[in-house]
Amino acid sequence: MTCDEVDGRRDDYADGSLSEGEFQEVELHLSTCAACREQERRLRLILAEARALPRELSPSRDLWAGVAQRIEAGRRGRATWWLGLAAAAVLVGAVSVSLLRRSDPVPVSVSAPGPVTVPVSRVSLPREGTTLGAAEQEYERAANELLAALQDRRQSLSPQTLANVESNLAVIDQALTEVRAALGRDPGNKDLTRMLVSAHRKKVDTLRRVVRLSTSL
Amino acid sequence: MRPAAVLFLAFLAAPAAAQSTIDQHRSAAPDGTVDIENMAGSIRVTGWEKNEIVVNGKLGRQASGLNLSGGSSHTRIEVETEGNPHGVRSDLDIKVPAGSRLKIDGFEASITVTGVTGTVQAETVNGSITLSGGVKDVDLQAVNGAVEVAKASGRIKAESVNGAVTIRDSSGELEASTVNGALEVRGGSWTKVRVETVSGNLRFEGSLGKKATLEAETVSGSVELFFPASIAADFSFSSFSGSIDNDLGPAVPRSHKWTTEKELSFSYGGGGAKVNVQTLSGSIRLHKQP
Repeated sequence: MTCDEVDGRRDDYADGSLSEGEFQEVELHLSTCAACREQERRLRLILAEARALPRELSPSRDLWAGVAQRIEAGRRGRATWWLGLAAAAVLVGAVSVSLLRRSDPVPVSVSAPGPVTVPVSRVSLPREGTTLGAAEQEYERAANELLAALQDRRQSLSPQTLANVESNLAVIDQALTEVRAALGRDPGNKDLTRMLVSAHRKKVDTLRRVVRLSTSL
Repeated sequence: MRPAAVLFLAFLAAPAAAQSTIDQHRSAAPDGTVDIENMAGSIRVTGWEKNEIVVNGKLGRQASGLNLSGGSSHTRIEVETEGNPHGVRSDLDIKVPAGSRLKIDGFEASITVTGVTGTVQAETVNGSITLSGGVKDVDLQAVNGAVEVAKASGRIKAESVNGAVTIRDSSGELEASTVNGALEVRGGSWTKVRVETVSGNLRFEGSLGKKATLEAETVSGSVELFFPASIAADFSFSSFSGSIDNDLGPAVPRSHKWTTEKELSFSYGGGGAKVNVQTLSGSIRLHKQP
């Protein structure tokens, strides 16, 4: 069995649905191919992460503390949230690129950002190995940063604009809930994983755009 | 006339009197950069053959003036305001050399660009963006407004959050997205297409080159694809809980063993272009063009 053939059977191998013959062939290949073994290890990791995903993801207390700190910092100085915004953009770029490469068999290796309140030039370079659950938290953190920034800019926006933005964020949040529920029924589904990341990215992109445009006033 | 009536008439006339008409000219390079900023009202830009920028229109009340500055290779056009610019609605009608590179910022403003062959970057929050004519590179972003592109070519990026995105009779590479607006691609020939929505419906009706790729993704919107019978492509569809209907190839999608997910992959016309579609709950339908 070739690497390509194993690649096409990896999902079924992981969920134990291969025939006995195919299972043995995959096992044989994995025993001699380090690259495929690594892919299989990553797949199992992401499956475990997907199973562990909460139905309603809310930032941890530590994360909320960080967000609160940044909001407070934002109130003290106008420049601070801009740095957060720029850093959030760096984060989104980093996570998106790694997670959304469609050629990857399973999006397992994502990049995490450094602290978001330091100047952009000092943002830590992404580190490898962040998993889906951690990536979701990072997206949530970026979204919260931007929501705080938007909160600061509310007076610049018309009630109609704010209402539209909020209703669209609600649409995205609903989508996130639906995709997570689907992932709960089919953990490790590559398309759903990609869709989950895509919805997170859309939320952050939307917020980023509104905040950026509102700051041009 | 009674004094009260005079005051009333003066009050009515005040807004009109406060609006000032503008007519400014400036020489410009044929491929120079032009930055335009008008926070509220309208911005209409037309490409022409002269190496000159002309700005006509009306400045709104509380506008302190129009800043037309810079050298011939980089011109800045900006409505200057006192206080919050939201209430200052100015309408600009601008002519620029056709090969200009435009950067347009609005907020509560609609933007229209016609006949510019250089690059166009435009964004607004509340307002539509409409572009027609050939451009090399276009990037249009609205939050609460429709984005429409017609007869453009090159790399096209069009995004709206709450509005519809429509691309007509264009060609090249396309990246388009909305959250809950409809996204439609009608006509044109494409080498690379990526379209995505969250809840908005997707429709693609165009032709794909032999090595083209089309990727469509939506969470809960429906996807409709229309291709001629001569299409040569490899199709891959996946919907977690929506239906898949196919007028071109196999009719029965493979159902996932443990879930409601449906998948359908097949080649048509010998294969070639890659067409991938994913939805969560939206339906997917592949039509054969008559």
